[in-house]
Amino acid sequence: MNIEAIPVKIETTQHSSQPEQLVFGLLQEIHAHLQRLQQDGQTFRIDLKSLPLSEHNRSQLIALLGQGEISCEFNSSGSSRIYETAYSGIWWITHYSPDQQIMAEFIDICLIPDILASHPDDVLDAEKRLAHYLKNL
Amino acid sequence: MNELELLNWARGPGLAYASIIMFFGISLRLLEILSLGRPAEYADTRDDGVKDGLIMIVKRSLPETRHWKYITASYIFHIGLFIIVFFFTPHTQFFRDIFGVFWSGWPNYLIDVVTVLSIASMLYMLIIRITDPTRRILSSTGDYLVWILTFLPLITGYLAFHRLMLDYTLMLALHILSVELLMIALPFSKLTHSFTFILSRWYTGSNFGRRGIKS
Amino acid sequence: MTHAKQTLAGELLKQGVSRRTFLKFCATMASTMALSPSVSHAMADALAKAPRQSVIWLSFQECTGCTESLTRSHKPSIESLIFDFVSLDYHHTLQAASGHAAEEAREHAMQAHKGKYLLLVDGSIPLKDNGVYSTIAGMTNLDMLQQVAKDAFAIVSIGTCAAYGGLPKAAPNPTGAVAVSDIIKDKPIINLPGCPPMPIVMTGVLAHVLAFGIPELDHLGRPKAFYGDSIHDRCYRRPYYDRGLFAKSFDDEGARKGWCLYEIGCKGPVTHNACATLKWNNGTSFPIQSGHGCIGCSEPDFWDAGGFYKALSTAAGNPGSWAVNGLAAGAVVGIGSALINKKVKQAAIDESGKLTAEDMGGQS
Repeated sequence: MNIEAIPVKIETTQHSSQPEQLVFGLLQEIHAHLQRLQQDGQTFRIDLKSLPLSEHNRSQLIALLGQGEISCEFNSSGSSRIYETAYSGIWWITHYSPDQQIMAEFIDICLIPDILASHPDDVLDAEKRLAHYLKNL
Repeated sequence: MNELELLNWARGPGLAYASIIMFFGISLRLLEILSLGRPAEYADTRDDGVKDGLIMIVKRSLPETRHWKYITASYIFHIGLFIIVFFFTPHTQFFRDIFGVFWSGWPNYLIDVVTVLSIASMLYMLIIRITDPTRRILSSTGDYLVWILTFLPLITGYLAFHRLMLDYTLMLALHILSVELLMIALPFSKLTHSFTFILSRWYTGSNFGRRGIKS
Repeated sequence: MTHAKQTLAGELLKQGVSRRTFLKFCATMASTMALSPSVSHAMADALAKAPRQSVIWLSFQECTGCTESLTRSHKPSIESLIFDFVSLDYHHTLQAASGHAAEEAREHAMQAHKGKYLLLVDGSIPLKDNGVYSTIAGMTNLDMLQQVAKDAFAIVSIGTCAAYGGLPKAAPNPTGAVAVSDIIKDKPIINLPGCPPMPIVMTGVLAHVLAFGIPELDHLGRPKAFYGDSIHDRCYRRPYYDRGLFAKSFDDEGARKGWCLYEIGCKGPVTHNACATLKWNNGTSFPIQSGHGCIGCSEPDFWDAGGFYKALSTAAGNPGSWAVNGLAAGAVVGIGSALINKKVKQAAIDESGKLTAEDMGGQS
């Protein structure tokens, strides 16, 4: 077995500096929501644009939460990037506009962000399209 | 009327009426006082009293050791008010608009400290006036009214700058209106001392000088 | 013209906007309007089911700037998609019909959607001389407003002219212009002031009305989500204001360094709008960032606020003349008073005679 075959998960990067007050407080809050998710399945969303986070705070938060196993990108009128952080249940969602400006940014504490799931209405539409295609074969 | 309309009125017609009344009053009072003149001199004077008049203006402007607490508070208040009125940047804009002369304002945090000191000294003087039996007997309604009229611009200005209590536009309108009230009351109350103190100190001094009394 | 049973979601799907994308847009919009993130789901569901809303847009004494602002926003967003989705049954600039056909379309829409159409108004309404200074198809603006407002479910006054009277109302107000809210008293009115209003404000409020109904309004009828803060509260030049660093004139050293524009007339402290956070031209810039003080265009009577280039602390008018007039009047009365005083004094002197030695009982 070569070294690449050994599964490795990056927990978190090492930091020389302590998290700043605001970031520390936010992490406490995220932890509380994660507890609730674990205990009774309650989900929560934090709107990062509503918080007075500086660029430095934001990078620190991203670095502290780290990167997990899943990362997805979807493109529709600007791209959106969704990834699970190194802490399962904490997802980071960024919505970009067509000119790459961040339109919205959220931290979702849930088992899976609902934006990833297929929507019943889309499924209905897809079923019709597939049926139509099969009929015309 | 909404708060912006009130502000525009305060800055426009309100200020116009207050200015007219204030300058009318100052002009009236000065002429009344000056036209009274001196009583006729029937004896030779020691000298013309000019030097002593000037000395008296300076001498009576200096602090003295009796009642030093009250006097210190009064100094803090008067000097503080002068600094705030003439060196707070938005006020420098006001004077630049009127006189066309411009000078730089002081940093906001300094003016803030000065304002707090002035407010504190005013409150201290009021407390002394109320608690000291002699002063209380001597105080009239006019004294308290004038205190309120002078205190209002200070407190509304401070609250407006710090965005406390009321919406900023409304607080600013109230601040300007309180200044206008003060302007109207100035020539018709003891606040005339703002322009007559020099005259009265001169007069006393020059009288002493003419009679040969040491100023 | 019948409206098929279309929903917004259905319409968007036809345009290739999946429900997933719709969810993304709603989340973004909820964030912009400072709504709780959990609300975006409810918003998405409500909006998805929204039928084609009939909208009648009346243009009165206006410059068409509000329409221009709205239609020039390029960023494809849920708000602009919603605006495309509504059934704009009457709009002078955007409609294809003209003349009688246009007025008939309006009357038909009013009948077909009685009590359910949304009325948007831009421009002020002149009242002087029976409102003759602005008429459409022979009808005065006043009559048309009253007629169309009767069966609308809500009214949105777009732009400072419709919301507070705006430019036509500026002194001396030759046409007797008034705001919509001065005439209509019995319908919910949302004021979206601004000269022009921000595009995202117009479309965001429209989306909110479709999804949830009328948003929370302040005491001047403006949605708190967009007009809650003053420009000064959110201005990026605040640190300079706080430190007392001001530009003294355009293009001077302070101006080039980006210092606060208070001294050259910025009305930011008394103006409520979203310019400092949401910015103009798809988030490019806003007046202060471009070096010009805020003119206060979303506040009532901003044209008569003493001048765009005079600082907020200055007098709105000419103070020099007042002072001179006051001094002159005082001098006149003062001289009169002095003369009276002299007369009184002289009379007293005359009345009192000279004292002689005899009066004192001495020997003469």
